[in-house]
Amino acid sequence: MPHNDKQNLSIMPPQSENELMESKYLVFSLADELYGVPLGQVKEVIKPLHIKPIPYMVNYYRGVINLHGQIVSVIDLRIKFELHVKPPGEGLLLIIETPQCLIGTIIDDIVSVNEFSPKDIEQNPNLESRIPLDFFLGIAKADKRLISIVNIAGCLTSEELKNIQIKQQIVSEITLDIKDKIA
Amino acid sequence: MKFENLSFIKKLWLMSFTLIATIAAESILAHLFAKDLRSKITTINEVLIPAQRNVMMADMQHDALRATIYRSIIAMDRSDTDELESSISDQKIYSEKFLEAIESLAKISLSKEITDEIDFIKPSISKYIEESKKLIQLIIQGKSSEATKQIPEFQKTFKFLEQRLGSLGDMINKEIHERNKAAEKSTSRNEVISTITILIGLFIGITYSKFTIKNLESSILTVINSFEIENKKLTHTSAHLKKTSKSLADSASKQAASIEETVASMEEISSMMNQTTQGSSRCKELTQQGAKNSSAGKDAVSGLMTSMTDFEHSNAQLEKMVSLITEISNKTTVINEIVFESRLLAFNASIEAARAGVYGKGFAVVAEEVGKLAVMSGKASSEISVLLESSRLEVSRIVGETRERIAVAKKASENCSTSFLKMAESFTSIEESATSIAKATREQEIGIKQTNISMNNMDKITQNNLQNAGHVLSEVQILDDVVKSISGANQSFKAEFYGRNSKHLQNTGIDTSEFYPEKLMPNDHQTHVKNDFLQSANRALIATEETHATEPKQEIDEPSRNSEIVSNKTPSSRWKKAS
Repeated sequence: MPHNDKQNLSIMPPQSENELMESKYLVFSLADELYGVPLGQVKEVIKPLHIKPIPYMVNYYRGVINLHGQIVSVIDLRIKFELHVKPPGEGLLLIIETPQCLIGTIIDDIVSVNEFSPKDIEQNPNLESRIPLDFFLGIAKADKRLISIVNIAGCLTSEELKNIQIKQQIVSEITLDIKDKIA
Repeated sequence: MKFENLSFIKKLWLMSFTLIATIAAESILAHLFAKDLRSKITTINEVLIPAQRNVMMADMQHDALRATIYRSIIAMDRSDTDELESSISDQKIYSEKFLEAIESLAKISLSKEITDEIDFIKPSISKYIEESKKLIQLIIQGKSSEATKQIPEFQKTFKFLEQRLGSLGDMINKEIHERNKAAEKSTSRNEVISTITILIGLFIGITYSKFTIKNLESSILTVINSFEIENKKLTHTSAHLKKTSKSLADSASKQAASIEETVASMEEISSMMNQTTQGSSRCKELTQQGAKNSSAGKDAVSGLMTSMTDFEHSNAQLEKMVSLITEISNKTTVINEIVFESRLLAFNASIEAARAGVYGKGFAVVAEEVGKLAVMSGKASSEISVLLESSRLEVSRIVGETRERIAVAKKASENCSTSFLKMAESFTSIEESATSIAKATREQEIGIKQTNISMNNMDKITQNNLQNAGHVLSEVQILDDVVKSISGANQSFKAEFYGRNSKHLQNTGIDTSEFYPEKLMPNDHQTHVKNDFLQSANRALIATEETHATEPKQEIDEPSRNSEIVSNKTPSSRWKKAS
């Protein structure tokens, strides 16, 4: 059971800050599969907000949200991973902090915060995927289930990230302009 | 009209008329002829014979006068005065008689020739009488010479008269002869006429008689033949009549048995009718009870309907409870929201604690605890939610089911109510029917009573019929006798008509055997039939009497008993009693 896992895992005592930072993962579910992201990349988890669509963008780019006054781009990993797309307004928004910007990703649910030692994580598994390898960090074994450890920032190419950043900036500027004008 | 077309009586009349006419004509003719003959005889008697006598008298007187003259002459010669005086008186007498004879002759109607002759000789007679008188006078006076002188003259007159009187007598004789001849002639003529008349009459009579007798014969033959035929028919009919009367008696006996059965059946029907009456009254009572029950049922159903309405109200309350549960469930959603938020908060706190590193360690524990609480609350909430949902579902299911059941029950009770209404109507109509059945039964009872009366009448009639059948048989017997006597009479008449030994008699007997196909002689057959009839009539009578006797008892096994009784009793005594 995920709850038991979480419980068991969460009770484990922390060792060092870095070690702790490195070894803690936020496990979420997406299309009945479990994925994990390093807890250090996670800014926060929020309920889905109204996503404003932005025209002429790649198909997995859903739009932008207003997160505490900051414009954040939202991508849909389901589309990106070519999974079955859920209607908007469901699931949660996982806000990831990248060095460039904040990116919101739509997930189904948060499962738990797990702590994996490096030996629990199978690095570079022998697999062939269209997903870039810097996105797929490894597979963690938790009891009988396998959790894909992903780097969400890495799943986007630098160009994509850049585009997102630009769009984000444009939107922010427009928003600021509008705000100024209103003021 | 032709002779053939005349009726027999007319023919007879005509025949007898003809014969009578012939006889009458004959008698008339005979009368006429007799009259003629009598007149002729009368003529002879009254005319010719007196004439003859008178002529003879005259001749005698004439002779006597001459003789007187001569006597007087002789007396004178002798001078015999007495003789002379008597001669004178004689002369007077004779002359008177002579004249008288002539006068009476003249008086008699004779033929003209004789009358003329008489007239012719009358003067000569007078002269002769005068001369004789004169001569007598002369003789008396004694003048004999003168007398003698006168005598030749006298003689001459005498001779003349003698001659004339002789011729007169001849004439009269001739007349008589002629008249006799005429009478003979007429008599022979009359004979011829009467013969002819008789012949004609006979001819006509025979002809008529021939026709009439022929006619009569054919008529009588026809009558005899028709008599024979009718007699045959009558015999046939009487035989049939016997059969018919026998079958009539049988029928009457059967009828009596049937009547008895009918009476029994009527009694049965009557008892059934009573049962029907009782049944109908019972039916009426039951119907009334049923009507009461049905109204009670109706009330119960209306009560049930009220209860149903109450049930519906309760169900509505239950539905409200469902909405309440839903509301609670909604509130649970809020709790779920809070739990969700708490979880998010706990995760974010964990994230923050992780970010804080070693300093956030205690906070991380708190966050974890909060997350645990959130999870627990979520679990409890979800459990509550599940429970609520299940109870909601259960309640809604119950509500739905109750609604359906109420609807069904309502419909059923409505149906029940309608059924009760219909039942009440049915009971009403059943009651009406029962009443009408009772009424009809009463009428039927009346009808049966009347039928019973009719049956009694019919019974009497049947008895009458039996008696009548007996009478009919005796009548048939009489009829048979009559037929036989008629046949005998006819036979004897035929014998009389054709003669005893005629060949016609051979085929005239009525062959009665052809009417008795049983090859029985008529008498045997009659007795046979009669015995049969008597037996059957007796049986019928006994049956009817038994029916009468046993009628009040009204037992159904009567026919078998009757048959026993019939076999036990002697038919003849019963029959005598009946007849």
